[in-house]
Amino acid sequence: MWEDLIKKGVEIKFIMNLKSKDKRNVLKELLEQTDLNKTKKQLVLNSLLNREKIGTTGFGDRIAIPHTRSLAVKRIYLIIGKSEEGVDFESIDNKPVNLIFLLIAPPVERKPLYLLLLGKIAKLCQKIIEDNFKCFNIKEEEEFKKYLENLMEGEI
Amino acid sequence: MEKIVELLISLSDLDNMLKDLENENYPDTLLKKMDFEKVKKSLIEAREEIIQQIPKGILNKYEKFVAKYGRGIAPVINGVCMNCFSKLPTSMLSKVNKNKTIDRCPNCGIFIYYV
Repeated sequence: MWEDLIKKGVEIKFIMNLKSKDKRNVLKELLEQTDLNKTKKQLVLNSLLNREKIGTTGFGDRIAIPHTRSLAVKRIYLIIGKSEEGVDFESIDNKPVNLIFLLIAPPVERKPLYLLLLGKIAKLCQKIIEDNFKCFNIKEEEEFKKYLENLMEGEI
Repeated sequence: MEKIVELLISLSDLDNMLKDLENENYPDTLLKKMDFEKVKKSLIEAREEIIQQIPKGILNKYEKFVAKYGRGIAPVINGVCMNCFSKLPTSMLSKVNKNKTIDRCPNCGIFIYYV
């Protein structure tokens, strides 16, 4: 699953232990994983915060999917972060968030992938909930990757 | 970086958000969890906030491009304008102060941002 996405030009990163405790800082921490320069990171952050302003992407059940298109990026970035203590993401259920899928895409794509990928992530989150959030206890990155991969069963 | 270019990028990103939310491929599971009318209203408010900081002449041009091309500012990737897909002249691509001035594509006229 991950290899397929990488082949399609998606840059994927994992953070197993997020340190930030609030929305703005956690988005910054996730963006630090990208190879974008400081100006571009700021532009993407502005775009993400604007997205959050119009409605939170903390959709409840301890998972958040911040996503946006930004003119500042050339390809799709998917950064998955896990927080043990939880992040205040102003979720719809007011509960802290432990798992964050950050998705950033350019405004123009050769083959439309962004919305499809967002749909797959939403599905994946549904499966995580159905599986009683077992992945929250996984500490190793490889194990976590494999777990998500098995959950999707090659759907992405 | 030129402040106006930064604002045009924010405006364009907001416009893309609205387009995505209205796209049939936007996941239903996420749409169900938001009040679409409220989101649309907040989006217009956020847009207004940005618009107020952009000079009228530039904003008019931006809106004109949106009506004509569906976007007001386009990225330049590998020297190519991603709106009209024409190669930009070397004189523009070799500029040192890229994105520090408000540039437009010499072919289609759209505002450009060098990625």
